[in-house]
Amino acid sequence: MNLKTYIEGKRNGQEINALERKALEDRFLEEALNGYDNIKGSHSENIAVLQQSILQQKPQTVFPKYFAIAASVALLLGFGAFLALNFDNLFPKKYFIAKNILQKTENNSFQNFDKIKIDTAEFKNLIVKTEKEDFIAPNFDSVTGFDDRDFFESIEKTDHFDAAKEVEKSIVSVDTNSQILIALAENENILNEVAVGYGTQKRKDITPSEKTKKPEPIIGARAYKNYLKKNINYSINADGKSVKGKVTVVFSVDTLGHPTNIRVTKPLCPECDKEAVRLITNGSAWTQSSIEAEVEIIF
Amino acid sequence: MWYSKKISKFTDEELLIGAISEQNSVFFGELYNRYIPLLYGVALNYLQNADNAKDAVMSLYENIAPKIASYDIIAFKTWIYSVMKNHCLQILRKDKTEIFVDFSINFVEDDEILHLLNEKDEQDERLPTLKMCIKKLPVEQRVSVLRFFFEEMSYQDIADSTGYDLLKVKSYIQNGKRNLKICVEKNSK
Repeated sequence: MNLKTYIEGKRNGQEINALERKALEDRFLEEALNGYDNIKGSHSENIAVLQQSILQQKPQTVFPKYFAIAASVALLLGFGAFLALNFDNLFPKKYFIAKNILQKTENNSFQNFDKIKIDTAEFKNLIVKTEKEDFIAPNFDSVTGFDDRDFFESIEKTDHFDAAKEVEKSIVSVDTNSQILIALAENENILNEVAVGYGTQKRKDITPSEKTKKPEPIIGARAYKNYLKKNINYSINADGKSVKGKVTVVFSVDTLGHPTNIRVTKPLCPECDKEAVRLITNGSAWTQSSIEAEVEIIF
Repeated sequence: MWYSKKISKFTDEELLIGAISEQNSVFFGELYNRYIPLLYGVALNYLQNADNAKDAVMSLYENIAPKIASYDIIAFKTWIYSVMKNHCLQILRKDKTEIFVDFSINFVEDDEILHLLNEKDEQDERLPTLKMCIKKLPVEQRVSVLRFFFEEMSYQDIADSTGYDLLKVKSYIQNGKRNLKICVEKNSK
């Protein structure tokens, strides 16, 4: 700033000329220059003192609100990242494995208790519960006297959880001069059973989460609706009376995806019900599921 | 601190908006600090005393900082200038000393002639007239005007090189400028 050198006492040169010319158009500057011209004193020091004391009136670095917000977000993210990175250490994986299995067994609920084999030596407390036939094991708390630490240790001891794929033995003659790629066939019989620590269950009951979803038409929900609209036969009410309403049909899906066991839960009229069943049987195949499908057909 | 570095790059307008909306003294402190060299000079000009000028600059800050949001400020520079001037006049009135204001300095300058002298635009048709008018000026005024506007010499430079008194140089330029304005207006019709 030219003014600074002017205050320091410099009065010669182009810089000062530029300042003086500016003062001709700027009365604020002109009066200030007059002040410095007329009064002698240690002006530079006075200005420094003034500027310093104004800065010290309030803490110099008061952060604006958005900075505080940003800082707290950063702190949260940092802490979150720390948690995420150390997640494995804070919550051992085996805990989740055990929890998962319990959840699954809960979902599939042991319908036949005689299938569950409990190792009596390891789970004394559990046995009492199963004998009462109310063992669900939704969480550890509901199983009284159950020490989950022992449970985890016992899981660790069993090697079943590594889910090592058993492979069928096969003999292949090999040309040792060329590279070979060998694909091994899975042994379905061995994989069908998964050990759960305190019992065995058929694999298909535990793993296929697909099958616990509601069945859907293979062609898609929208296409299926179109199919129903197009193919519905209204002429069944040939006696002139048009019936309006809904027919609700419930059915299960067989292993090939075909609707079986079709039942009408909300009938409308005998002809309508028959037509609804016809539409379902002639319609698209469905995704496999253990849950029954429910379809509303609007007349 | 990165934050204080950043605030120094704010424009006056941004600082003023910050001071009003954030109610944060940091913004106004920074803004006021920028004008202290000018404000202190003005205070010197009116109060004729370094210590009084210092007090005036400080007391003005303490006065207006808490209520900055309540003022209707359009341009901070002109606003703070008039507030400083009033503040100084109030101090002088309180002290019952004789108010010394050099009104000749406050005389409103003509921007047009200044523009002509500063730009020296070759395309401007009045430039030959200006040159002719400068030749007609009394010697002291002509020398001072030429050296100040064309050779970019400071008042002190002119005083040193010509041997004129410094205050005389200033008035030569003022009067020369006024004469030029009259002359150019008369001859450019």
